[in-house]
Amino acid sequence: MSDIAKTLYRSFVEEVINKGNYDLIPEIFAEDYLDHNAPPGAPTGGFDAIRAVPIMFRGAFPDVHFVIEDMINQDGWVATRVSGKATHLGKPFMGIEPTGLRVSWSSMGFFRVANGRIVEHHGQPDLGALHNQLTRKIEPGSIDHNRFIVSRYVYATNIGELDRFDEYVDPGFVDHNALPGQRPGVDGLKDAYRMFSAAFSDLWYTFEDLIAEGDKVVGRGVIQGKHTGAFMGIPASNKIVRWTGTRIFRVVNQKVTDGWIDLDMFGLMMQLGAIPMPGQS
Amino acid sequence: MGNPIERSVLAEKIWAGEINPGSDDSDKNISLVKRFFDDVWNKGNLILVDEYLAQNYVDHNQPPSTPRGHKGYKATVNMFHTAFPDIRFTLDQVLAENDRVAFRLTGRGTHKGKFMGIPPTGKQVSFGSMTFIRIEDGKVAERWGITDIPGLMQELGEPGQPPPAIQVKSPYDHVSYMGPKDSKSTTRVLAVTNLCKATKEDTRGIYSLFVSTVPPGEGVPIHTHWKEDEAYYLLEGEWELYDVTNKETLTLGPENYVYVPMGITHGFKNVGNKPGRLVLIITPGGLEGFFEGIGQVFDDPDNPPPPPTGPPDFAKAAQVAAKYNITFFAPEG
Repeated sequence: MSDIAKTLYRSFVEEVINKGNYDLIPEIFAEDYLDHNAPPGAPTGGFDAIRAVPIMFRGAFPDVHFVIEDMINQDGWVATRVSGKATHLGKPFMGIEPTGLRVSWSSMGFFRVANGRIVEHHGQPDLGALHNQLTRKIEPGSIDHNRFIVSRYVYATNIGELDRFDEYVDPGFVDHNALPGQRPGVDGLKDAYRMFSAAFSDLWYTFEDLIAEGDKVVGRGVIQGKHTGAFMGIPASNKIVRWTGTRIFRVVNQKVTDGWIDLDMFGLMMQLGAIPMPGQS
Repeated sequence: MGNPIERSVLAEKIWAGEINPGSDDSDKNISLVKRFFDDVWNKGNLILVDEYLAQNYVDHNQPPSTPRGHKGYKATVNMFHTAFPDIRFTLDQVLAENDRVAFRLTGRGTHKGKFMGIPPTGKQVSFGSMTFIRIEDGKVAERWGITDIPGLMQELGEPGQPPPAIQVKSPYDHVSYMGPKDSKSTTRVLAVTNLCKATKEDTRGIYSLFVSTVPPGEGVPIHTHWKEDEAYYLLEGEWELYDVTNKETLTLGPENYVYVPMGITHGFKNVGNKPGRLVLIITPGGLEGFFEGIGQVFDDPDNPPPPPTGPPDFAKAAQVAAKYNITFFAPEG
């Protein structure tokens, strides 16, 4: 038996949380929605309160995927039980910087529906289980540990803490796609980072995948930034640009020793107007 | 339901969530949950756990390191009542549909006993919890639950502490028991299934206790323990017990008690046509490690895995037996 409370909740999970489709929020929630268990510091009412939760989860776990396990519907309320699976590749969660770990947890909620919209919510995610998994001991030298090193290194680039490169990258690092004139070792990596961060502010690399096998770790993702400085002779355009990047790292003795980094420079140059877009002349 | 107008009004109400079709048991299930909470969680009546929970109760969010089934449930209730002797739970909301009930509750109490490693603080705390249960034949058959343990730990003044595994009481400071199918581990060695009721960890190392089930025609091959005495209490079946050292065979049945001193070469066989069962006591304790090393370990005694195919790994068996000071003898003939 289909009913509106279940349908609305299903759209919230499958579209808003799993796909990040925030535009659908006004079709699912009432404007005066109230969250009785909003995370500390997050808004408790309105569309902002709804956005806060998927933004927090998707920020920390870019590949988060929830599955609805059960829904119980009575008197305009629906009780929901979901399980989530995700990889901790993005922002810190519960104060823990990205670990690269695969985690799974469950969450429960009670939602009230009136006039075809969700109007209030009590929630209980199993943060204890999540915290336990994110703080579990990772065996040095294991594949999980290699994922951890790469996740932390990429996080250090995202927050622009060059000093922390030395914690994760071997001094003799070999960049197999070095820029012309790039210095060898970790210093060259810092040079390349400085070149990009001088041209693009708020640079952030979001992982969409992180795959590890043997001593290799492969990350695939999207880089976003605002073009606020000259880049390869192209003056600042203040455009927000996004380009993809695939990076393969080799990790030996808990340090990144090699990198094969492919960035979609062609797509970037097109967005900066240095190369005409297809169909333009 | 014949009138199309009536039907559309009904459909409208169902759509709006005002009527919940197909859940005749909802009221009954809700009152069951209310009674259960009052009896077990508020009054702390642990005996009633056995009445409210189905025999094969499954907890999908069991606190770590608690035993399965009713015993684990009682341990959890007991843990909260020990740490917060005045604890009371209020059911803030209950929803039911078909065979499932979801409820949200708040626990309130004073921290007067050790809780998850935190010594009593005397603080008044309150914490939320949500639970889904499935009811079968008027009993709770399955549970999924989340309790705000991180929030509770924070109230007790341990901010940022990961919730540690729930501490079960020491086995030596209270009377404990185990239900018919409960076990610390279940193993199958050759054709013999052993439910381990007590490991050496549960008995200060003094003994280990098993309930063993032996199919017709099967048994335990001739062997010698060099460190342990063994005792059997035969529950069911017809048995032959071999005292090889003294070249004697005993034919015994239910209610007989057998003692095998260390160093005496022995074995036994179920010679009846039905499965036989016996209680096996080994002292000092520890041979559960031998069974786990040599046999198959599994969870559900009712659903054993298929027996291993191919010839037994005699080399591995000999290695494990040597570690436990047991000598096996090649079958005759």
